Amino acid sequence: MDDAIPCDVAPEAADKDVTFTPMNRTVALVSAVAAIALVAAGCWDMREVNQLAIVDMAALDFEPQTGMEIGYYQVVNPNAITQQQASGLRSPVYTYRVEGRTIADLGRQAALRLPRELFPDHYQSIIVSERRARKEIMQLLDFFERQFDRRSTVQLFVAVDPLEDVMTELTPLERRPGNALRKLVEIQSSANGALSRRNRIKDVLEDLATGRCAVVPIVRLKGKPVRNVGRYQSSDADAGNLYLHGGAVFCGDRMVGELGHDDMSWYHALSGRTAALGATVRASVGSVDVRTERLRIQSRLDAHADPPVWRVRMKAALHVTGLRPDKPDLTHDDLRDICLAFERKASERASAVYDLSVRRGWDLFGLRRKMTLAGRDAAQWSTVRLRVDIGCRVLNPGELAGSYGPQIESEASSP
Amino acid sequence: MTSEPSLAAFIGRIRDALGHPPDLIEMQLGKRPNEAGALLFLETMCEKREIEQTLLAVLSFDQTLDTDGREHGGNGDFVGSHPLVPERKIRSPEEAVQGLLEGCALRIVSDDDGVVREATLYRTGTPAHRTVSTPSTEVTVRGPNESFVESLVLNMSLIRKRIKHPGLRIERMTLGSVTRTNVVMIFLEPVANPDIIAECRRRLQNIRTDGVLDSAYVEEWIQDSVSTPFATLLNTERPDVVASHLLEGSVAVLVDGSPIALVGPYTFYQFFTSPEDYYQRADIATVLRWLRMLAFLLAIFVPPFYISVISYHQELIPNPLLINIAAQREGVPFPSFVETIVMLVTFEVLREAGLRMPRAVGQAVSIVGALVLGESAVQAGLVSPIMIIVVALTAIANFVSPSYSFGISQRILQFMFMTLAAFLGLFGVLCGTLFLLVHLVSLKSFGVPYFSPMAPVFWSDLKDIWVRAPHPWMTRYPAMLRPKRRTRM
Repeated sequence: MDDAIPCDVAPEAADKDVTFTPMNRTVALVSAVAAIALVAAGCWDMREVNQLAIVDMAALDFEPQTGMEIGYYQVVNPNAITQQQASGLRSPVYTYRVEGRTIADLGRQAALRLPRELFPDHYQSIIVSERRARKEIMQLLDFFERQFDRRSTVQLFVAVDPLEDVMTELTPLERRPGNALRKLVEIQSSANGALSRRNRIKDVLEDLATGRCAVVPIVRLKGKPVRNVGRYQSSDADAGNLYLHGGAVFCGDRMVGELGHDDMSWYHALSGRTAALGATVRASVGSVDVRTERLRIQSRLDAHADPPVWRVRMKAALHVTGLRPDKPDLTHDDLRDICLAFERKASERASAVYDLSVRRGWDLFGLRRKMTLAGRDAAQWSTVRLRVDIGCRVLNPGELAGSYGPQIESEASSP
Repeated sequence: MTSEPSLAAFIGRIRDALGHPPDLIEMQLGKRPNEAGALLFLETMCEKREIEQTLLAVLSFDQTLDTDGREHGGNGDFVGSHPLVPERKIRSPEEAVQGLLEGCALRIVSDDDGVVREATLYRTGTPAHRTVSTPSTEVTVRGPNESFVESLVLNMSLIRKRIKHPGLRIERMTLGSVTRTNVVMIFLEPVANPDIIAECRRRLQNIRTDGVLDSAYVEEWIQDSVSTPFATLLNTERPDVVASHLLEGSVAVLVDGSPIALVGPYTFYQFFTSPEDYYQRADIATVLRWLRMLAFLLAIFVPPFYISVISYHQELIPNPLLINIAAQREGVPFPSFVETIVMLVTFEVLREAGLRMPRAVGQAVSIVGALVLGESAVQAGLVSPIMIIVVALTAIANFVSPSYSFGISQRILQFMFMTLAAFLGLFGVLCGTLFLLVHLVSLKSFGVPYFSPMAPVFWSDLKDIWVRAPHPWMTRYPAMLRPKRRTRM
């Protein structure tokens, strides 16, 4: 019976040179690829997460006497962040201060102090001291643009208080100060327009590159700085806290002045960089607090007029957030009057900000570029007149038709 | 008969061929030694009760054989049709040996001179096998709950009872020069593509081996490609699954002694279908199918993605998550690749141990091992807690696959992708993905492109791939199988 079993291997296979079979070629190819992979460059840029110094916020200053750049790196202490609920007694960030001849040199100097690899990809905020900002800022922006591992979407701020205090300050609730500042911008930009998300490094660069002045939020320190984790055991969140107030105006390559906090909303509104505006207006029914729920802005430069006219059209849908009327119920006429009051206020405040920019020679709205595109002399941008047309309607008068005030007064006076 | 040996010589040759086994029973039939003949059988392969009560009861009469093969009792009365259906008549001692080994009883009739006149095999019961039970690896909540057993005849009957159409064809062949295993090829003649049938038949006939102990032996012979982690044939223990594929024009192969049937052609996307898809509502089945596809992607890509982002592309991780992961990995001494490999291999060992051990103990080993080992590893600082999540997610995703063999393929791919991720990061994962796609589109199953109906695209077939269309909408046979007719019978 065994004789009847056919041979498993075909006779011709025995004669075949096994070195060149397709199977062997595949094995050889895979082996070669695997061998190359072992020595491929990919292997050598491997770095584990726990080998990184995750930088949350960085700051730039300079020493006027020596001309040396001063850099601050706020490095996250991951264990303190994740265990903050259980224990708040460890600092969530550690701040390193380094000096270098150039901005790029700061990174090299940091490597001498940091026991971990600097990881700049997750910067949340960059702060520039006022004196550094007034010196020049393009070097910093240029440095960011050239680094593939630094994001241009990081928020930029200017600090008027000493950077050493600002960078060692610990913030409550959101324990990473860089992230806290970023969150402030995000919340404020949708709440009242005093801040805009468009203060990222890329936005500032775009503005400055097109000849337009840029506005960057100013970070300030409230009270005396508290540099230890004891601040987490105090309920007074305001004592030694960072907050944003006002804006630093950059024209050309440096900071040239400040914009008041109240002007910031109207600056953002005229620029079309916010959909939220808050204002207190005086109408026939009394003092009314309103907030825009929707704000559409269209602008066009009428360059052929003499003098040229920059027409800005705003369409605002209002929400009445606070009311102290002299009569209990709001009528349609009252709402119309509130709208008219808002239109007057908006026109007045927008014009004031515009006039300020013209007066100080700050091209905050890119009129120089608009003039050039329209074929006019860019230097004549300061002759451009602003005309603001505002269309307004009350979208949301609130839950009440009137106010509790008169009703309570009448009830109190009744016997 | 090719020759006319004496009865004694005939039996002697059989005895010699079998090596004088102790279970070979020889019985003399008839009143005188040279009158009727002999009955031979292997008592370990036959059912003795059936031989005693039926075969011997009939054959012990003094019988004559008329021209049309009907037997008459010795007193001239017609006894009736043959009480046992003969398996076949044999012509040589070698055939007789084969029949005895298959579990038949051999009746040898000799003439008055003691020369063998006729030898017939009778099927007297089947070798011991399990009864039909519920499927163990392809469990469904709804639908039939029968599974194949080790008996080929019973398995064929399970299919026959589901498809009562005269077009159902069963072709039998014997494979294995030593084991002489019966193998059948089943297909629905009015539907199945003749080329596919011919190809399957050709591959089966080309099998040159000494033994076929299970359908897995046949699978390796008839599959299209050996150098692939993917199965190009479905192996299933469910007769309803085989029947459903036969209805669509596929070919099934059953092997005697194996409770697993092979079905081909089978394509990549069909591995995401479960028998239950067709027993549930269409919308539910569709969602579950998407879930299985997602689980496949999770099983393959979660560990390599974890390794890639932890070791190379930290910038892709959202900042709060990065800090969280960094905190968890503080103090972990191994790179993420080693950490992942150690945990996954440990899990595989536990899983394998759970499979091999007695069922009750096996489950305990798996659960206790995974929980205790994982927890201890985290506490010892050897692995990070998130690693446990990655391993658990991957392991669970592996089990979602309705096909056990496809689950194994997933695990092989997973380790390959992990290695690529460890050396080249996401670039390696991307290269691996492209290589995998190229590999998938290069495979075929009985001539049908393995990646169909996506590549090449068969639009009409997509309604049973990406979704499970309601039964009334599925009026056409899958075009990728190139059936004989397009509309269903």
